[in-house]
Amino acid sequence: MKTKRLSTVVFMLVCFLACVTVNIYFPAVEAQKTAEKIVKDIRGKSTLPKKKPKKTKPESWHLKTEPAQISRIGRLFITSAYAQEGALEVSNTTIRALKASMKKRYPSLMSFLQKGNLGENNKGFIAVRSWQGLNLRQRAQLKRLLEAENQDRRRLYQEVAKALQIDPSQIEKLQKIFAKEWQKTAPQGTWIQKENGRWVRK
Amino acid sequence: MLSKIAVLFLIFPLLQLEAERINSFYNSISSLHLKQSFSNLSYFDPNGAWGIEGLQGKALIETRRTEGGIDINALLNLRSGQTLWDRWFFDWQKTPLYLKAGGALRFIKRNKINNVVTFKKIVLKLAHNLNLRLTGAVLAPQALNIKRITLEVKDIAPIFDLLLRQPFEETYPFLADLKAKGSLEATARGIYFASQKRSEYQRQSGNIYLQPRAKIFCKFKGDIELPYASFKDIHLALPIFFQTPGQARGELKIRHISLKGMRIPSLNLSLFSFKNGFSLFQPTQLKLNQGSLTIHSFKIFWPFLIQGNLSIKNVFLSWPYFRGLLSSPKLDFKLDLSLLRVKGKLHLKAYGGKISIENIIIKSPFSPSAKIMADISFRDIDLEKFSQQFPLGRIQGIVKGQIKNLVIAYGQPESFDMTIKSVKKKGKRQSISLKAVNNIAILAQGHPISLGGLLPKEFSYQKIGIRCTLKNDIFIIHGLIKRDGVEYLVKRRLFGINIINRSPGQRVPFKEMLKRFKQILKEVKK
Repeated sequence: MKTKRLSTVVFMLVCFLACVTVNIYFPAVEAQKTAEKIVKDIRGKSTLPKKKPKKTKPESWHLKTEPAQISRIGRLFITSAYAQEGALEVSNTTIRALKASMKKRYPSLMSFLQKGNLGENNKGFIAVRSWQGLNLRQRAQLKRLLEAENQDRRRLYQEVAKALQIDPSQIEKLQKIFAKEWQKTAPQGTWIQKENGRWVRK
Repeated sequence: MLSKIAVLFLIFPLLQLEAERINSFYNSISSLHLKQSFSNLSYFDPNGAWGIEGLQGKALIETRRTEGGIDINALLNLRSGQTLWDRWFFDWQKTPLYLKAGGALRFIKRNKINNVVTFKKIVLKLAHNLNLRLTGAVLAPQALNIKRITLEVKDIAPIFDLLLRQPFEETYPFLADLKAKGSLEATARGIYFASQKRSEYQRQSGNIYLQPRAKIFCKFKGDIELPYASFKDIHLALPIFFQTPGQARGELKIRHISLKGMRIPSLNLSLFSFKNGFSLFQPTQLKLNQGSLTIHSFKIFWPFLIQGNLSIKNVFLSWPYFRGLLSSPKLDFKLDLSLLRVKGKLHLKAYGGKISIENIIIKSPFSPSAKIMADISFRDIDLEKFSQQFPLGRIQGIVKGQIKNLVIAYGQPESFDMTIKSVKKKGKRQSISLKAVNNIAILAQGHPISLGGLLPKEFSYQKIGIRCTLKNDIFIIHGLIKRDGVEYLVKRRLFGINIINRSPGQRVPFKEMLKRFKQILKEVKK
């Protein structure tokens, strides 16, 4: 009798455990909107290569036109004023700074993308597709840009995931959403890695 | 013949790994003298890892058969062309390279392993500036012994630029602002690289990890400048015992230090080196801005861990809109490549009250996206003194409060949760000027109060209670005083003025708050 009761309890427990579903939250719509917005901010107005910016701090860190008093007292706030927008935007200081860094880098990256040296893979990163037509100096530049860009993107995904409360185990989903946006906005001639892993030229 | 020479030249350092097969090849060589000039030599690694382009220079290789081996002399001089190796790019016209090696290949039969390569001397000169000398190198299978390596850099600025700034500036933008000049000398003795197969993966892949060990003596004379700090006239003499036992004294002298406007007259530190690290020989006290900083213990362990503790006594800080005295009875710190953790409290005496900073953590301290985290609490802050230094408008009274979970990234606040509450104190007036009322109204609602011209210039108040949070670039302001469903930021007495938060929980984007902040500062300027 006791054994029967025990086995019933065990059976019920197993049934109960089998019914427990762990839902890991993934805000697909917000992630999509955020990816669209961030990629647009970075690539939106930089479709043409610009003059290489000076080696000093990013332009946005200086407010030459502001009164000296403002630039002193409000440095903490003012330095980051250039990109922040509507109240629904997923943003924070790190995301803004990463966006600024990537926006500054984009004109240099774009020529490598157009020439087909770099491609946008399906995991939200850039990858080398070909070294053809590049001399050593350009190869060195490409390597440094590639590493810096992918490092920024990695941090960006982590920050966005944190802001959207996405579990770290789900970050690949977020990366894939971003990958599509990078690919959509990449210039003509860029290599694009499809979902199935095949590379095609845009 | 030429192909033999090419093979000899290229695989010379690796030949002992294939000794059994190559013996017969070397036995066929008696003496050789090859002098070759080359130009426009190019090769691009298909994977992009390295390459040479348009190389021009001279190569000389001489071999002479002796009893039991071959004496070899080699010389390489690169005068133009380019080389890329990983992320390091060399333009040999700007930084010509001269490499000379003299050594011998000895056929030694021992434990089925034969052939040992010895280098009497290898000299490498780069850009007429960097000299590297290796003496007494012995390359045996899976081990390398070098008696002595000497490195001399006459001017470190161009070498720093070539080897550190250019390759890493894109990834670590702070390097653009880092300036180093001066000379560097380093001597390493008893350098030994022993092969170790560290993991199953490496065993399978055949990769060999060479575990080095050496006694190194470093000497540096020069200046280092960072964006907020400069160290001039540095003299460093430091012995390093890397993976090898030993003890010795060293010293660090810095004649001029400037730290964000704070001047430290001079620094003389006595160091004590031991296996895989060094420490301060004895506690050191530095006089700083009318106060002092005492380093009780400071240890650095290789590859990288810094830990120690210090105390601070009445160091005067003077920044725009802030003046105060900084103290701490004891601060323990531990820094590795990913985290700086500080245990203890920093106390600031400012605006007539006390500010305490604790739980200080810096995540990824060497990365551009380093995040500083801390909790701050303050009490007995005299608003009159505060408003004298900060142009918000005159306010009288005492407040206390806290800033929890403060995160600063890229030098800007990323998130915080701040509360400010007024505290009644005998003999202290509680009043707020119209200007301050307007400024608080601008911060809270975006515009000043509408009846400004008709109101008196100053009001008394009963309470101030404000909570302000920042998260994901959104500010939320709450009044902490609640009466009949109304949130007050400032509550009047019988007479006076109330500042009411009309839309509690209102989300103010960072940009909007910035606009409001600028508006206040413009008013101040007027």
